[in-house]
This record gives sequence, structure tokens and C-alpha cells, in this order.
Amino acid sequence: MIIRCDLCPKRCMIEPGQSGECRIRVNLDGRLVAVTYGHPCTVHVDPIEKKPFFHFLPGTTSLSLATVGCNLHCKNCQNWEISQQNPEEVPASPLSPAEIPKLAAAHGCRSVSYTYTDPVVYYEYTADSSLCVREAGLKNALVTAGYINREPWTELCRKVDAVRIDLKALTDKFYQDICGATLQPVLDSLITTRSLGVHIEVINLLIPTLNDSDREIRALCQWIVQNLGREIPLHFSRFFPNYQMKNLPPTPASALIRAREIARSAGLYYVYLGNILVPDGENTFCPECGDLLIERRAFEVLKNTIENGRCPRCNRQIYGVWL
Amino acid sequence: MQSPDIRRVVMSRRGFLLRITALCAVIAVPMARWIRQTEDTRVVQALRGRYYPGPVRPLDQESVSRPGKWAG
Ligand code: SF4
Ligand SMILES: [Zn+2]
Repeated sequence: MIIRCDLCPKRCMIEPGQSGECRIRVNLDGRLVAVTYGHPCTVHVDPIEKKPFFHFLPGTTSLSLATVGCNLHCKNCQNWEISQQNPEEVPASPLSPAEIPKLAAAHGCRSVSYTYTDPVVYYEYTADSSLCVREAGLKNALVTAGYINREPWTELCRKVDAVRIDLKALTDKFYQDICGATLQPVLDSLITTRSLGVHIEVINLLIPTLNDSDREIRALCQWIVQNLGREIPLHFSRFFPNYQMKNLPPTPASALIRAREIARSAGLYYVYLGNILVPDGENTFCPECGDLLIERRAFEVLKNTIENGRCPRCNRQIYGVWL
Repeated sequence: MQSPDIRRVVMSRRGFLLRITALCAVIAVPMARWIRQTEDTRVVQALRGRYYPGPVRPLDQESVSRPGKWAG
């Protein structure tokens, strides 16, 4: 019997014995089975800034895990050795949802991040683990492309505390040509996340000639301002040639600095530059008085003056989840 | 030159309707069967798999404590 998976907009029709496009949701005897459940292929203690989350428990570590598989097929994927592989080819370790908060606490982590590939496709593992993590008093963070249908996304958002969504471009053409996906579901996920009051940070990888024109960057920033708000942190990240996209050069520093100017002039308060060391690229300033609130360098927090989520100088509330 | 019998060339209304109905049936019957089959088997949440199909190794605690080499 053919099964249709309604988890993500791909809505794969899966024949018996076959998997969907994400490789890990399999039709076994007419039942859809998540075959990587409880079996991450990678588990590490990362600084939360590596995700990147800059306004969510800064300076803490996060137990970060992933199973193989992804529902997008980005030509520039940095983690293709786990995202674009079949589970048969990648070793994994048993780790039940109940064990995750214990492991996180043992390593002094304040949160668990479902990351590296895309937690959307190992949905059931993420959802069950999130409940155990929350019960243990820790927080949950998703690092995702947000390519998922609205109903399951809403359900998942209720179980987590922070979401970092990759908004790869503001054109359907980019999503179709580079990622094998479409734009609208990602925009819908962003709006749903915001409406549910879950902490959001957005990342945009600037790829030379593909999504780095002033017009595109401005449109993306304006969309965020109009639909999510000026306080949503936006991270521009530097591209490096990788996987099936080795023909393009790394993003020049000047392009990232220009993108930051455009974002600020569009009205965004918190704009960061990642994968590159440039002056103030990772620092947080108060949008009211301009005070330096958090100084960072390469995932490390050097200084954090935020008190009770507010600027110590002018008392302005700073968007985020603070310690 | 003799002109062809127009009744042989032009299809009658009944003939036309019969053909259209037959064509619709040829397309619609398998499609309806396919739709019914897939309607019954739409799934959002999958069953939790018990057996990982690839190689299984115990968790390496040493590597857990180090930051991952993967992006994100
Ligand atoms: S989650 Fe996987 S199987 Fe389900 S629709 Fe998306 S790509 Fe297909
Ligand atoms: Zn201030």
C-alpha cells in the first residue's frame, strides 16, 4: 500500500519498502516508520553561539544532536556527509529521548539543540525528546530550514523554546534551483513561529551571484521587518565553496558588511556577520542608547552586561531569552 | 467530383457524448481508485522505529564533550 507522508510540503508518495525524499521515513508493510528514531549519528556539546543563537542563553553550551537525512538537498550543504546519506551508510548510537536531558545535564548544558541536518525529518524523535528535556528543566532549540507543513510545525513549536530558521533567499527560484524546495512554506513557518511567541533568530547565507544583490537583501530584510518585527536577530553568514557548489568564490567581507548596512537601514536592530571576523560582526548593541551589551569573538562571549533582559544603561528591554 | 457524405464525416451528438463519457471513464476510474487509496494512507506522524538500519555503535562520550565538526 502506498503511503503519503504529510509532514513536509514534499508530500512524498512512498511505495512499500521505499523511503521518502528525506531517506529516513520508510514505508514498512504499509506503515510509515521513522527509522532513525533514538539513533543520532552525531552528538556534541557546542557553544550555543555556534548554531548561531546570539539572543538565547548566551555563553552557555547546548547538547547538539542530529540523525541522518534531510528534506532539502542544498547544493552548498556543509553537512552533506550526514544530511544527504542513507541511514544504512552512516553509523549511529542508541540514545533514547529520556537519556538526552541526563546527558545534557552531565555535560553542564542548559539546552538541547536539534541541529546539523534538519529536525523536521526526525520529527518524532525531536518531539519526544523535547518533552523529556523540558520536564528536566532544560530548554529546547531547533536549527532548521523550516520546510514543514503548518500543523506539525505548530505542534512542534509548542514543545520548544527557540528556533533558528534558515531563510536562504526570498525567491522561489533560489529554493527550487539550489535546494529542491519552495519558499512559501518557509515564510509560513516563520510567521507561525512568531505568532506562537517562540524565540526566533534568522540566518541567511550570502552566496556570491546567487542571492547577494542589494535588491534581494533589501527585500529579505523588509520582509522580516514587516512580518516578524525589527527586533528579530538576523545573521548573515559567509559562504565557502562546498559539496556541489565549488565553482563560486567565498563571500567577500565587503558583501557581508554591505548586507549589514542594508539590514540596518531597513530597520533591523540586531544584525550579525558569521563565518568571518570583522569589527563588531558578532557584537550586540542596545538599539536605544547604542551601548555595547554583548561582546563576542568566534562563539565566545567576552562580555555580557544585560541584566534581567534589559540594557543596564537605558533599561530598554532586549529581545531574547536571557539567563 | 462527388462531395463526401457529410453524415459519415461529422460525428453525431450522441456519438460525441458517448466518446467523451468513455474517455472520462478511462481517466476517472483509475484516478478515483488512486485517490481513495492515498486518502486512506496520509500520515503525518510516523511510527517510532526500533531498529536502526545502519551500523550501531555505543555513544562515544569522549567525542560528545567536544564541539561538533558540523555546521550549526
Ligand atoms: S518528511 Fe520526508 S518523507 Fe515526509 S514528505 Fe518530507 S521528504 Fe517526504
Ligand atoms: Zn540602552
